[in-house]
Amino acid sequence: MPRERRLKDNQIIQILCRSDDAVAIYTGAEILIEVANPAMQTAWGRDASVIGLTLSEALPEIEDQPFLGMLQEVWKTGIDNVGTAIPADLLIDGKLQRYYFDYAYRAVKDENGQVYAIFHTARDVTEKVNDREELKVAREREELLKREQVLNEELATANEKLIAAQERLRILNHELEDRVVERTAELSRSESRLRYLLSDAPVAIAVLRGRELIVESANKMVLKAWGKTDEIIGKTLPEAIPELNGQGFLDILNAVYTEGEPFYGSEVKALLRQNGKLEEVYFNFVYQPIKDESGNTDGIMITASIVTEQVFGRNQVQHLNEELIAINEELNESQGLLMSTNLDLKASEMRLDKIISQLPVPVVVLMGQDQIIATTNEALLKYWDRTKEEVAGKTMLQVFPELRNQPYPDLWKRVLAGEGPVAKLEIPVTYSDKLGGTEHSFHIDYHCQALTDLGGNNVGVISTILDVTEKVRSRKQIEKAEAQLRLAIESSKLGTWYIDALTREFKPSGRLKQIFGFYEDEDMPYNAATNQILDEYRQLVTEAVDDAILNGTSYDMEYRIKGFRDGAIRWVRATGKLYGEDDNGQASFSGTVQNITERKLEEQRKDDFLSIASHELKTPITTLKGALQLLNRYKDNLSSGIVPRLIEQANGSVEKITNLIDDLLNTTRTKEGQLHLNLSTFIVSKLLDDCCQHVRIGRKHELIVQGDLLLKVEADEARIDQVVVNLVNNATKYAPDSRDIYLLIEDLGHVARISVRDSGPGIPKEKIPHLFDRYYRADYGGAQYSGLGLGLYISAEIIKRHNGEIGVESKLGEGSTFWFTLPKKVL
Amino acid sequence: MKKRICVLEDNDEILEIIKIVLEDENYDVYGFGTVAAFMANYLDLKPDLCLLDVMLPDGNGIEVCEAIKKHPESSEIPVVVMTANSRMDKMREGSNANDFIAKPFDINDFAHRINRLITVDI
Repeated sequence: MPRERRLKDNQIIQILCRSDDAVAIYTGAEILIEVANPAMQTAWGRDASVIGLTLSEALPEIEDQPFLGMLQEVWKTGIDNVGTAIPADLLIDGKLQRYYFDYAYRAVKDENGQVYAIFHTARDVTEKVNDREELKVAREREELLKREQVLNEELATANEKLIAAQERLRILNHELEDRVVERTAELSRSESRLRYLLSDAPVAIAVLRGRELIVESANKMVLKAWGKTDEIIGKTLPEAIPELNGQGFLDILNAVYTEGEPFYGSEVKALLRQNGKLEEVYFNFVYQPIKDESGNTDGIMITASIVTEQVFGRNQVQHLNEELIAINEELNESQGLLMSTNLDLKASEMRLDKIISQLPVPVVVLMGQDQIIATTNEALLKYWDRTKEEVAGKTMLQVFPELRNQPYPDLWKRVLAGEGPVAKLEIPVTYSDKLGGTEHSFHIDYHCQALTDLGGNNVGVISTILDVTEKVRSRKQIEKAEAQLRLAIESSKLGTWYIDALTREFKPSGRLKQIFGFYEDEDMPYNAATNQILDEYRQLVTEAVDDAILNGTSYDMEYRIKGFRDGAIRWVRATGKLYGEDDNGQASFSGTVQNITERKLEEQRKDDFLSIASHELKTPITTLKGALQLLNRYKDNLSSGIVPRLIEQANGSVEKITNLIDDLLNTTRTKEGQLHLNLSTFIVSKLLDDCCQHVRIGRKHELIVQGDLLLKVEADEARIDQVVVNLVNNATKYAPDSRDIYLLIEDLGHVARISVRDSGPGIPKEKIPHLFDRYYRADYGGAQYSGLGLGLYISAEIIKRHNGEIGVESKLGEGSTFWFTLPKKVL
Repeated sequence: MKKRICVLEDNDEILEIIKIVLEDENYDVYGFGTVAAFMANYLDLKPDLCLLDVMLPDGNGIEVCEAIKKHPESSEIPVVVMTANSRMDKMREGSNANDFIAKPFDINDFAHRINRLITVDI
């Protein structure tokens, strides 16, 4: 059993370090000096300061020496490295000297086999190595080592290069493959291109193989030239183009094949069948022999271009040249002729100018497309208000730019272009005055035609202008006056007529015929018209007409006629006057006829009214007069019972007269718009209850008030009373048997409506529209009723003044309702 | 026996005046307001004179005059027509009435004319 050691580690180290052999202990790949005994220190030429340094720190001079590498190898591999007489260059005493050592680097491993230190021993054998062989060996070893080192390095480098080269090679291989593929594709493309090129080449190309001249290939051009299709491929040339036989080409080809020399042909003619016809075709061509590797001809390549057109063209040019020479000769002859004609022309031009200048009508000659003013005359210059210098040689539009937008430039162009002469009457034209300011409008008669040269070509236009402005103006004035007259006649509805004093030709207007009862477009001769005059007037009228014609007097008559078709009696007023001779030496008699029936009827109505008015007034006056005269008789016997009655009658009559006169006055007042309204608000039912006392007293009729008894209106109470009284009076007068008369009040919102209803005989439909007319009295059954017939007219006027409406509803046999409305409030 | 006068006049007041005047002249006066009434009764009354207004509600005095004159029983009876109508002259032309009196009339002149015709008649 091992006894416990008595020495400590450092004591051990201390003892070992006393060895005479050099000893060192290293650790780590950096070769750290753990221990270095004095012997080693001496060997190194160092002292104990090296301990704790790395070997390279301690001995920098061993940098380029193998010791570090060897030590590192030992540390790495764990394999000892022992050697003899290894040289080492060491810096001893400042001098680098070579020493030789027997050494040993021994790897010290732990229990796992892991190196944890290197034990280095060394013995200085420098002296020993005096021996040259040992030196040599040492040197050789050194050499070998060095070489090995170098070789190792080279090998490493070579390896790297090899790897790189391998890689490059791999890449190159790839590239090569790609390139091959590409080249192959290109080649085949190139081949196709070539094929197409050849096929579509603008030159005829064909390849013939063998002595038999088999057509191996032929492009489009050559096929076209031969007039064949690609069916000939594979055939011999003679088979393909039989028409070549006898034309010499086959012989030439044979010669080329035999001799192996190319043949060149220029503008050679061949007869080829094209579209079924033998055509002349000219070629420039080459027969080129194709040789194999041995230099023997085994085919011929034909290239050719078709020059037919050139050949023909050249022939034509030649032909034309010959013609040109002939023409030139002719031309020379004509030249001479022309010169003499020109002189004639000049003479006739001068004559033309002279004629134009003397014309009293404005004439201008314009030459060419630009309408250059070539010739003018005095009349024209005066018309244009320009001098000759101001216009000569200028274009029309230069002198009169204002014509640009008028139809003339276009017109000249058209005439110049050959559209034929133009004649336009009374067309408008506008010129600016010289200063370019004011524009003047004219009317002209315009004639324009083309001027031709000897060849019949239009070179200009010649225009004549006639100023008809005045004529047009007067004509327009007359037309205007006539139109106004026609309008006046039409609006006055006058019929007009005209009799030729000599021929007695009678020309009535349409309106005149209508008045006489004819149709407008019908014939109405003079006798037919006079036949329609009523017998009592006819002679008077015809005599008056005759007298007027004979003696040149005028007449103005009113008479009645009977309508031709409808037989209606009309009143007409006819005037007539003789007009003296016109430009043709004709005297004429003309006049107007006017339908005055309405006026006459109105007059009649007024007359009737007046006579009725006077009659109506005279009635109460009769009573008044009678009563007063009787009172006069009884003035001495005033107590007679008759007296009060007479006084009452007298008073009553005065009352009646007053009322009648009031009515008359009211009529004129309403007509003149003088009806003044006294407005007040009142209850309608109250007015109705209070009014018409005279009727209520009479007891013949019952007045029944119905409806809205509280309704109020704003109106003139007295006037409304007047209206109601009138309506009620009418009811009593015209419906005397209608016992009950209803007065109805209705509220219609904005207006009040008051109606007076009776159950009398009613009013015929045709009379209703006229009821409210002035002077109108609807008399029934032929009888005539007293009263002026003004009542309804006045009532209507009063209601109108109130902005109300008045009307009647009536049915024969059932009675009548007269109504009126009043706005409840006056606006 | 008093003479009879038949009066055709639709205006009551005028009729009254006429009645007073003619009764003062000692006539019996029978008045009628309508042509119908007059025509129905006059023959029976056998008047010595007929006095007719022209403008009547149901007829025309001129026509009544003609009717009277036409009728064999009354053709000899004098007829006087009175009118306020201003066209009296025209009426006069076409009528076979014995006299025309214009309204308004003077009562004395009126009485005189009536008397003349009746007296003459006798």
